[in-house]
Amino acid sequence: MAAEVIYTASDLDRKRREVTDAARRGVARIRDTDGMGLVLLSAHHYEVLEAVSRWHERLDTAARALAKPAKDRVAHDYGDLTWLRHLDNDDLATFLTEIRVAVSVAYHDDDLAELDQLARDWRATADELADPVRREVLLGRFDADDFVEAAPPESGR
Amino acid sequence: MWASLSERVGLTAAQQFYQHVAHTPGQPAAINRMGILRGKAGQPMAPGFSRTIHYEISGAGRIDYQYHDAYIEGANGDPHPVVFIRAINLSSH
Repeated sequence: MAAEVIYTASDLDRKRREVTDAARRGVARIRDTDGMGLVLLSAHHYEVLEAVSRWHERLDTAARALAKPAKDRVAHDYGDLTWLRHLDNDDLATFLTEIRVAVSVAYHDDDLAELDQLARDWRATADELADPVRREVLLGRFDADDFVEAAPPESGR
Repeated sequence: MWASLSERVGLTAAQQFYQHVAHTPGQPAAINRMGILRGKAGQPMAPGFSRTIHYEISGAGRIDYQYHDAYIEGANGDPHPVVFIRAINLSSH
């Protein structure tokens, strides 16, 4: 395993290609003139790290909300994911489990696609459940007699 | 709600949805975005049904449906593909 290289601030000028290549491979470590450590990494990798960090905080917030009695919860308990208040305890627990896995996959795969899609799906679910009628339909028992045949859409219908 | 779909989202968008569920309900939509409802709202209504698909008509509405590739209607019916529209939401985001 190669020893980790720590570049100096002046290397950004003298060894620019080497430093940026190191950053492209992962992280380039740089020691500034006052001794402060800096890192250079790809914008994509930074966005993944930022999202993973943000989601860890959201998961902690949602887990604390779940630990409170449902009747005592207010929208603020869910942090910036106030739409989580439309999920019942079972769904909120499932949300936590699924998002935890997706956050781990995002971090290790360096790819937010699955996490973003899952979060969009949960947001859509919560939005649908926010409406009492749709909630009853989506969570109710299946009865084929509740459905009627739908004609193809036509102008003026 | 279904009857007013064309009026609310436009005939083209309504027909795009109809064509989608009529031919490829389990495939990604050619034009609009789709997802799957999570948790209990996404569970199949009965054995053989898909999970609940959430179809978004850009800026105009959302439709939740499940499909079954070999649904049998009644005691003596033949298996055939069906799509059950569970909910239509025509409120804008």
